[in-house]
Amino acid sequence: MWNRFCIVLIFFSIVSLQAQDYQLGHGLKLADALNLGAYFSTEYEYKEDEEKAKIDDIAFLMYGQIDERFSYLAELEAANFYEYDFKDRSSSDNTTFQVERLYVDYMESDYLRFRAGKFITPIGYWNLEPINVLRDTTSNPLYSYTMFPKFVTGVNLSGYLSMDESVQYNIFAQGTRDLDEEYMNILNDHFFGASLEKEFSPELTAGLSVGEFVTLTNERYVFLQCNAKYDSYPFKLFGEGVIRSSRDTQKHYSEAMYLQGSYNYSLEHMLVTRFEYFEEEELSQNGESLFLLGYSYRPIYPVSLKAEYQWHSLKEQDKFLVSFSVIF
Amino acid sequence: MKKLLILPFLVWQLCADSLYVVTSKTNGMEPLSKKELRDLFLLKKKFVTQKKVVVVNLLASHPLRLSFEQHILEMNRNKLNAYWVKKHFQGITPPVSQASTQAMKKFLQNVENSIGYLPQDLLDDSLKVLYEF
Repeated sequence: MWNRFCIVLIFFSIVSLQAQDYQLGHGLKLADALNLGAYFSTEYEYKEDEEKAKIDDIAFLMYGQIDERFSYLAELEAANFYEYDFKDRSSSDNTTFQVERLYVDYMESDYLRFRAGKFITPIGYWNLEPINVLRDTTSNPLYSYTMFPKFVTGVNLSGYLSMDESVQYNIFAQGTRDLDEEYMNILNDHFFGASLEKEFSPELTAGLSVGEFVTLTNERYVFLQCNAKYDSYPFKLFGEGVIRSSRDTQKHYSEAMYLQGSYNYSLEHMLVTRFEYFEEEELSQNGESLFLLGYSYRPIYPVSLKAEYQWHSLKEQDKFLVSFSVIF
Repeated sequence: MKKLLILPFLVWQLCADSLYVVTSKTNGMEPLSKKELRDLFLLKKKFVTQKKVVVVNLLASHPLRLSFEQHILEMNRNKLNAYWVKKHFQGITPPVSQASTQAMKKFLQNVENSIGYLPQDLLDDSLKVLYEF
C-alpha cells in the first residue's frame, strides 16, 4: 500500500518537473482537452479515547475543454486510503477509487450553462471547496455533511441573472440514485434545489438556497440555507446556516450553523477560529456546539500544514487535529 | 514657474505608464467596464455581446501583468494564485499567456474575439481600445 502511495507521488513529481509550464496546484496541461491534477491529505487525530493517523484522501482529476462550448471533469478518489490506530495498534486501508465527480458542461452563454452527471451540490461555500488543501481547517463543520446531500447525480442549470449580473443562480435536479454512493453523506434518489449568490463587491458575497430530498429510507426533507462572506486580506469572515424539516408524519426539525474567522499575520501564516452549532430535535434538546482554534501554514498556497484544537459541548469529543495536504 | 516646467514631465510619465486593454478592431466590441474586465480575466464570465472571448495575459513575471493585476483584478499575486488553485479543483485553467507585448499584439490581431493589454507605443489602427488605466 505504501509502495503504491510512493509510486503515485514519485510519478506526479517526475511528470511535474518534466513539464515546462507546470506550476504546483495548477494541474498539468497536456492539451486543451486534457488537464491532469491530483491531491492528497494526511491527518493525525487525538482525543480522549482515540489516537489515529491516516492518509485521508488520494484523488485524481482529469478535465478539459472539448470544444468552444463543451467541457468535462472526472475525479476519482480513495478516502481513508490508510489508517493506523495507535490505541489498538491496528491498521486498515482502502485502495479502491470511487467516482467523486463525473460531468459534462455545455455553455450557451454567461446566463445559461448546463451540467449533466455527478457534481458537487452548488450550495454555499464549504460544500464547493470540500477538500483539505483548499480549507483553512483540517475538520469540516457538522453543517457540511449532516444537512443535505453533498453531491447531485443529475442536471444543473446555472448562470448570471440578466437583470442583475452580480447574481448567480443554480437550479439542480436528481431523480435517480447517486452514480457512486460510497462517499455520499445522505443516500437519496430525489433531490431538487436552487441557489442564488450575490456579489456585492469583490470582498462581500451572500447567498440563499432551498431544496428538497428523499432518502433511500423514504424520509422527505426540505431545507433553507443562507451564507455570507467578507474577505479582505488579511481578514476573512464567513458563515453558513441551514434549517431542515422533515415532511413526513413524524415531523422533526434540525438546524446547523458555523461562523469562521481568520487572520493572516503574514502571507504564509494564518490564525483561524470557528464556532459551530448543531441541533437535531430527535437527538438532543439542547443542541451541540463547538469552538475551534487553529493555525495554518502555507509555504506556498497548494501546500498546507494545519493544526487545530476543538472544544465541544460534549467534553469527550474534544480533539486535537494536525494535517498536511498538497494539490498538484 | 518650476511647477509649470515639471507638469509636462508628469503628464508624459503618466501616459508612459498607461496600459490599454485592447482587442482587434474587426471584433466590433464596445468599451468595457473595469468590473466586466475583472470577470472576464478571472473567467467568471466568458462572453461579450454573445461572443465567446479569449482573454490573454503576459507571462507572470512581466511588469505590465503585475500592473494589470493590481489595477483591474485588484488582487495580489498570492490571492490570485489561491484563486487559480481553487479553479483548478473546479476544472478551470488560467488564461493563456504570451511571452512579450509583441507576441501579445500578434495574438490579438490573429485570434478572433481575443482581449489583452498593451502599452501605448504598440497601439495602431488594427486594435481597438476597450479600457484605459
